[in-house]
Formats: sequence, C-alpha cells, structure tokens
Amino acid sequence: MFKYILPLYWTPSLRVRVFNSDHYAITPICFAMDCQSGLILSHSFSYGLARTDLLNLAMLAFRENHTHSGGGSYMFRSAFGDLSLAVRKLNTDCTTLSLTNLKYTKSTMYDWHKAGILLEDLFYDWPNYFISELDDYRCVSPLLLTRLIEIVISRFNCLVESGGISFKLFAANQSA
Amino acid sequence: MSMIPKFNQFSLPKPYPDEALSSWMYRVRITFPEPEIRALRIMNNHEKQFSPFANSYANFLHGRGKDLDFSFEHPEILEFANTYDLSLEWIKSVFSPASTQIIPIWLRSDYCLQCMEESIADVDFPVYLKSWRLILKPFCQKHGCVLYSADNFLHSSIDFAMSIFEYDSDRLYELECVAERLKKDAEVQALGRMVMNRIDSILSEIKDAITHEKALSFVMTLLRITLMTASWGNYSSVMKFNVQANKKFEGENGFPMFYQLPYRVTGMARARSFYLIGLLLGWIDEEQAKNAKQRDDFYLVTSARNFWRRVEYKPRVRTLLNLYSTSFLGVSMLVSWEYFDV
Repeated sequence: MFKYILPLYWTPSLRVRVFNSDHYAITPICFAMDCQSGLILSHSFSYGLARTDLLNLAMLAFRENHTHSGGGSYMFRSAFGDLSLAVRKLNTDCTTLSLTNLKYTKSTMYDWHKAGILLEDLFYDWPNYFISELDDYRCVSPLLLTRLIEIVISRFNCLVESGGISFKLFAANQSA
Repeated sequence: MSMIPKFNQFSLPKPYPDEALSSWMYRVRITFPEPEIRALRIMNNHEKQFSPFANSYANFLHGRGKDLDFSFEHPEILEFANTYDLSLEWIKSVFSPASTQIIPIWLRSDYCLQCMEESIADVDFPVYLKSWRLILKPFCQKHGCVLYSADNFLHSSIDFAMSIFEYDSDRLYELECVAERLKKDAEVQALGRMVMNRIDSILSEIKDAITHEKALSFVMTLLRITLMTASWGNYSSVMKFNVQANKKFEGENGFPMFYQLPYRVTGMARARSFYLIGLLLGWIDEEQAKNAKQRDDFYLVTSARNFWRRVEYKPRVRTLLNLYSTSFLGVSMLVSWEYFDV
C-alpha cells in the first residue's frame, strides 16, 4: 500500500516540561511521510531518544493504528530516553530529512524542503484556542505538545490532500 | 429549544453592536447581579474577608488566562449561561469573532476611545468590542481611526473597558498628545487603512476554504515579514510598538518570535505594517509613499526594493510566500520580488 515512507525530523525550540520532573526537554519530532501522497501517516517524539529510533516508534504507532484503529497507538508516540541528551543545546527550529538514506530511498519528485518549511509554519502558527491554553510561550506540557502536533498534522494533511499545496517538483517533471 | 433572551427595560441589557462577550457579561452582572454578588454588595469588610465566594469572585475579576471573549466552552461561560438561562448557541451566534486571526487575551491592549465614549452615551457603560482583538483590524471599524493601546497590564481584567476608561480619564493631557502625534501621521495611516480594507475585501471574496486559508497565511506571512527586527527602523515614529506582557509570553529566540510578533505589537504598529504591505503589493506607489511620509520620519521606506533589502530568514520567507500564493494574492503581485527571489 505504501511504497516509501520517509522520516522528516523537526526539532522545535519550544521546550517540553518532563512528567514529574523540573526538567525541560528539547524534543525532536519524527513525522513519517508517505512519499506517494505527501501526507503525514504517523509521528513520534521523545525526551532524549536518538532521532533514528523515533522512526521505529512512529512506524509502530502507524502499524498499531492500522491493525487496531484508534487504539493503543499513543503508547508508541512518545518515549523516554536519556534525559541528559534532551536538555543539551541542539540545533533547533530546523527540519532534517531521513538520517537513514540507505534504507529509505527518497522520492525525487517531491521537494521535502518545502514540506519541512510548511511543517515549521504550521507548528508555530498557533490558533487562538491553543494559545488560550498556554501558560507560557516558551515551554509546553507533553499533553499540549501532543495536541499541537495533532493540529499541525490535521492542517498539513488537509492542505496537501485537497491539492491546495503541492510539493511536486514541477521543473523535474517538465524536463523529464 | 434555543433560549434567546428577550431584551426590554426589565430584562438583560441588549448586546451592543460588535460587543465582546466578557464586556456583555460584565454589564449583565452589574445590572442583574447573581444572588451571591448581591449578597456580596451588602457585606462589610470583615464578612467579605471570611466569605469563600468573595475570594473566588475576586479571583474571577482578576483571573488571568481565561479568554472570556471567545472561549465559549469555558466553565465560567457555561455557568454564566446557566445562571441567566441563555443558550450556548445564542451566545456563539452573537459573540463569535469575525476572523480566526485573534490577539491572545494576555496581549489585548487595543481600543477606540470614541467608540467607548459613544457606548457610554448609549448604554451608560464603556463597552469593549470584539473587533479590537482581530490582528488584521488595527483600525476602528466605525471611525476609521487607528486603535489606541492601553499602557499597562489591564488586559486580563474582566472589566477591561471600564478599567481602560478609568485609566484614561486620569491622563487626559497625555491622550491629547497622542492624538496630536497620530494626526501628523494621518496620511501614512490612511494608506495603511486602504490596504487593510483591500485585503479584507479580497479575503471575503474567496469562497473556497483551502484557498482562503492559503490567502490568509500569505497575508500573515507578509505581516510577520514587515514586523521583523530588521524592519524596526520603519516603526521609529510609531508611538508604541510592543504590548506589555509577562516574560513568560516571550519567545526565547528569533524564530518563534517571528510568529508571535503580529499579536505582540500594538494596533498602531500593525497599521504601519499594512502601509508596508501596500508597498510590497504595489498598491502604494513610490510617489504616494513619499508624499505621505512625514519629513522627520527618516527610516520609513517608500519603496518595496528598499524593504526587501533588509529582510531576514530569506530562504524560509521566500518558500512560505511561494507555498501560500494564490490567484488572489501571490508572489507574482509583489513589487521588486525579482530582487528578493534569487
């Protein structure tokens, strides 16, 4: 059904308050993208887990969601790792394409850089109902982060599915 | 069955045109207080000190973070609807905002003094209007003047309009000076207002939801670009740029701030942004801009080319504007875009 699933990593500078702790973590988020349609199929984020492992979590959540629709997938969407890794200074507010190039062939027909920029834009363009739940503009609770990611994915998929925004590389098509 | 209140001299006060829900709630409670509030009024200070309701009511009046203008599912709004026998559908139909781009409750500061004076003449209360919280409406919808900005932390008061009015009545000389300075800048503001109206009419023409969202995002991106740090020279003659807020509501670095700027600045600053957007879209030509500019407003640009030169985050901004382009508003309309699009 899905030929290529490509991970797109997004590391926001918005920090996340860690459960039962005074720590604030920088949480890379992995979006599992379908290379055929450009839609986001699943996601995961962690507190200090290596970014490459996030794809496994996102895929587990995706498979779980397929087999038991709506149930059980949340347990794979966020995970604790080495917390000390999550509080170190990282390069934030940047998107990175697949770190495992050998395993996952990238589709050349799509401009994933554009997809990354759109994700960033939707991530920070907060709707008013989300803002009114915030206590702070610099850090959020894990639950609010989950809600924010769901809002982002819903808006992203809506724009891509309707054809309103396309990441196809038209220049490549024309020259082919 | 929907509960639509009947408005007459013995019933609840009728909502003023464009009135915000928090403002109407305040008026209703003052005119027809709930039994607990009535009891509170006749309590002496000692009784108030030991009354649990007095304490919770004080918290309610000074509570922060509750958007009683637009969060219609908020428990306090539900309780209010229940107490006064109002349906939530009716509340939503009357008090919903006209746009999705809203200034957060923590940062509301804009108002029109003339509208407030008129509402006092009409209903004996200074009324707070919901359009003052719209990011894309920095001008009064009735009088066309640029909105004033409250200078302190009044934004979270439930009686926001009353607080501003009382605050303003103590600074009449200052207000005269503000009016005088705004008058000097009237021509630039008039151009900004023209751009705001034109954008408003374009957005209202778009029927398709996705195209509308894209066009709105295009406008918001232009607004953010015109408010970037590198462009702040254009605002040197604007009396007040930032809205006062708690440190917690500031972004840590530049990129989140890029998104927060439209609601972190005053109506006066956003009015100036619309002038700059007009330059970029070619709706204001260089000659018009030069004629409108005050002689001592040295850093205000009068051409799109000079503006693009200062833009930060160029690749991101360029991609975003390309992504959100539509036939209604798009990069093909931007003046001197070729200078930027390299």
